[in-house]
Amino acid sequence: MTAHCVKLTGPARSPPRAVSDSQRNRRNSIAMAVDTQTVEKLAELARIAISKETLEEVSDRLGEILQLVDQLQAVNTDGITPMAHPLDEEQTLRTDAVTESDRRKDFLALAPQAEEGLYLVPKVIE
Amino acid sequence: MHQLTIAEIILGLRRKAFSSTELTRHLLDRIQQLDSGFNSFITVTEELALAQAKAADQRLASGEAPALCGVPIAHKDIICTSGVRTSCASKMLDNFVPPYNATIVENLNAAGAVTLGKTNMDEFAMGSSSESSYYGPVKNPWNTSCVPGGSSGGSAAAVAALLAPASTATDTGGSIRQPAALTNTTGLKPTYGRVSRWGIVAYASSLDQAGPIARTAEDAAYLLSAMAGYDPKDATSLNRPQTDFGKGLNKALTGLKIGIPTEYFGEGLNPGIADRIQEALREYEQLGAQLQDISLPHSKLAIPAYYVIAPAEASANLSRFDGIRYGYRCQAPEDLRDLYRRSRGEGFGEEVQRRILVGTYALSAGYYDAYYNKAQQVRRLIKQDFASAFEQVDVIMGPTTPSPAFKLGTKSADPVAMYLEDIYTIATNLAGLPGMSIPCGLVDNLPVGLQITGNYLDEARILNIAHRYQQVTNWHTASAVAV
Repeated sequence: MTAHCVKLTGPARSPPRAVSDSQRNRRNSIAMAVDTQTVEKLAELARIAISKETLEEVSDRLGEILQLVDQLQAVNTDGITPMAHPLDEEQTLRTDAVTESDRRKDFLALAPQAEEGLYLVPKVIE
Repeated sequence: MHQLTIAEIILGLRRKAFSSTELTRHLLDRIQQLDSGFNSFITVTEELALAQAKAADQRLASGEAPALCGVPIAHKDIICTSGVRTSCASKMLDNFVPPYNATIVENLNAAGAVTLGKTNMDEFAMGSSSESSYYGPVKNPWNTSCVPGGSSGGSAAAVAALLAPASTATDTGGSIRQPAALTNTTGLKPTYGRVSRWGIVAYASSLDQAGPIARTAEDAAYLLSAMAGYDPKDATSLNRPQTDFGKGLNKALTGLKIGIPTEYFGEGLNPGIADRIQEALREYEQLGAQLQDISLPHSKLAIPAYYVIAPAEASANLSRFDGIRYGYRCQAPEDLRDLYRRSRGEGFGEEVQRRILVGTYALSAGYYDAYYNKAQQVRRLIKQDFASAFEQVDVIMGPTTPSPAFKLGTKSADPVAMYLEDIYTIATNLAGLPGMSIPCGLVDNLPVGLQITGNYLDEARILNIAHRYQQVTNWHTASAVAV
């Protein structure tokens, strides 16, 4: 349900600086790294309600994490194939046959709200 | 009885020194009396355990008992157990009772194991201290003002406190090995794909792997032999022959080539830990092994690569928690959007939200190449480092953690400091290699772990290497609690 196809505002972030040892330095150097607007946008994409009061705190922590991962930008990876499976195994396909029994009731019983074999959600069509 | 290893329990049950019911009852009583001090269990499955123990005793009496018949173990609460709440230590799944067993639970049940309960952990396995649990932090039995490590801290603490002889656990960036190191237990993360992930709540699917935490390498071999195997239900499961991992435990180590990565002994390593590791390496020389310095030049990129790949995969995996099909739903949602946002905002803890947001950022349009793709390329460089190393040596050894167990509360407000806890363990997951942590001494009366990393599918070899060390040392028998 989370869409990852919306362009965030602003250009891709500038190349990283090395992570400094102390958290204080980290905090100072990332002051502008992730603004609260970006966090609100991300929270919307991820469908997570974040309170106004914690936005700044969340921005700071995200900035620290992104600064940590920005160390990757300094590495030359020209011509390196991205690695998805450690053993580069091929995805196996199963035969197209029914293997599971019908457990509709068991699974619907887990839903916060279900009725007549259907999941209930707030009205989506006016 | 609570100090017995699985090997001793198997022998005792067959010799009728005690019954599985007696042993299970004893451990349940012990959990009830002592676990309030450690908080290592989220759920204790007393009824199920006693029923399984009774059935095991009948099979033992009939003489047709499988390998682990009547052996009580605990399961990390990320592993689905039919009819038993599986919370992932999250408010999101506080009410989730799966209608099926994970494949590894099926496998262990088939081997005759008895389920004592479900162990505490970092919420959704995201952490290195087991403090982020919705059910409160786990405490280290060696010093209850310290963390037991994470995310499988409950599994490790239960074994260290002699509440369970062994536990299942999962390891995405060190979550078996780091808590094993911090609690003086023996933990094994198998090769990626060796153990089925089906029915284990997914965190980062290209890294997640389940394995045992036990008191000895021999016990870990018993558990892994029952857990491992090809599972068509897990698309990444490796189709390899069933293995008895206990078979070669006693093989001599003469001529074994141990690689020592210089990058793992640099700045940031506690000097006491460095000493314990050097002592362990001397012991291996005595056992006939040869030490050789090696280099894993991309080591320092493991954490940055992990904190792109793991959150990216987590943001996709955790999108399934929508407040509709199962799990937590907020009160009185205004509309569907409000239902999603508040169910997830209220149901997920801080660190889980943080990782979802980081992952969402990394996968956003215009950022994918700079982050996820780049991290996957660096991942291959890390894998190539290990491949070059394994051309020269049989195994790699070093410290599991840079420092011993830290005090509760000291790193929970500083995510990046917490992430650095896994500095020596994460590369193994990125490469998909098997790794162990075994006890090798104490620093300030806190345990130190020796990390043994093997080549792909070399679990039997590293278990052999760990077992031989445990035959000539007794660090692994040191106990956190009075026996």
